[in-house]
Amino acid sequence: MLKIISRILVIVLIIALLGGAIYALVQNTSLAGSFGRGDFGSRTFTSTAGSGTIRVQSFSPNGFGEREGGRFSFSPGRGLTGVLGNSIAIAAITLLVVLVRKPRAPRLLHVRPVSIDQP
Amino acid sequence: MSAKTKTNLIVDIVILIAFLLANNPSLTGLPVHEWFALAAGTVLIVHMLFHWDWVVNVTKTFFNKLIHESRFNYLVDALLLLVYVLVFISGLLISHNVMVTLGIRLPASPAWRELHSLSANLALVLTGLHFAMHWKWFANAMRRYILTPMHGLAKHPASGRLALQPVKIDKNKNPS
Repeated sequence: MLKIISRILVIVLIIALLGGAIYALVQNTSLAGSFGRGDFGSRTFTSTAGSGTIRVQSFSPNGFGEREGGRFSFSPGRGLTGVLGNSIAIAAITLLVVLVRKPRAPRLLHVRPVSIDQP
Repeated sequence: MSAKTKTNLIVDIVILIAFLLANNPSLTGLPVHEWFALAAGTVLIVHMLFHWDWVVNVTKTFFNKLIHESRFNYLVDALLLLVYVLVFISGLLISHNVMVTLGIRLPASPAWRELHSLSANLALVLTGLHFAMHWKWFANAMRRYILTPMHGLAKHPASGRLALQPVKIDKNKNPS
């Protein structure tokens, strides 16, 4: 029992260390600036009307996917399509790997017809 | 040994289904997605616990041989762990249910949203690769523990349920 608990602690420790390292890396590097302009983050719309430039920055008030009609709002149909798509992707990768790893037939044996007629 | 294989098979099927469900937040809605993914994470720890000996053995012999398949598996698994940690960390940082319930608020840049999506896609590819590398084991275990018993049950529906049991017949008693 003690062995299992210590193993769990080691796994959790590794995960925590990795997580901490990733967090520090993303928060303290330019990665934070380079992402976040896509679907999930804030967007800046620039409109040039007349002589002035109007810049409007939009934020999703409720954050990730909670916007009405957002990409991640509850939709069983879209969800099932996603599950099907992911299953197909995993099946395709599996098929590819299995085909690559398939052992080739040995080419050492060549059968050549021989005559067995008695002289 | 067979009981261990059966348990491994069940855990692996659960993980695969959980992954497919967690990877599609539209299916469950966002609050369920967050809690469900957190629960699935604990199953992943169980999976790692079951394969602890393999991880320790390959870690010890990693540099001993130049080419062996376990090394490739090990690299894929290590990368998979890293990507899953990235998925979890980014997911927790952008979460609006789990972290709020736990009362934790961490400063998170918008980068985490993109990273969550990106790492989830990468996790799909690596999970597929991990699954493919163990396909032979999975197919054999499925055949042995699920398909063959089901086939047997379909062929002889009663054979699995009926068992002969000795009963005492009292001759003095009249059954009618």
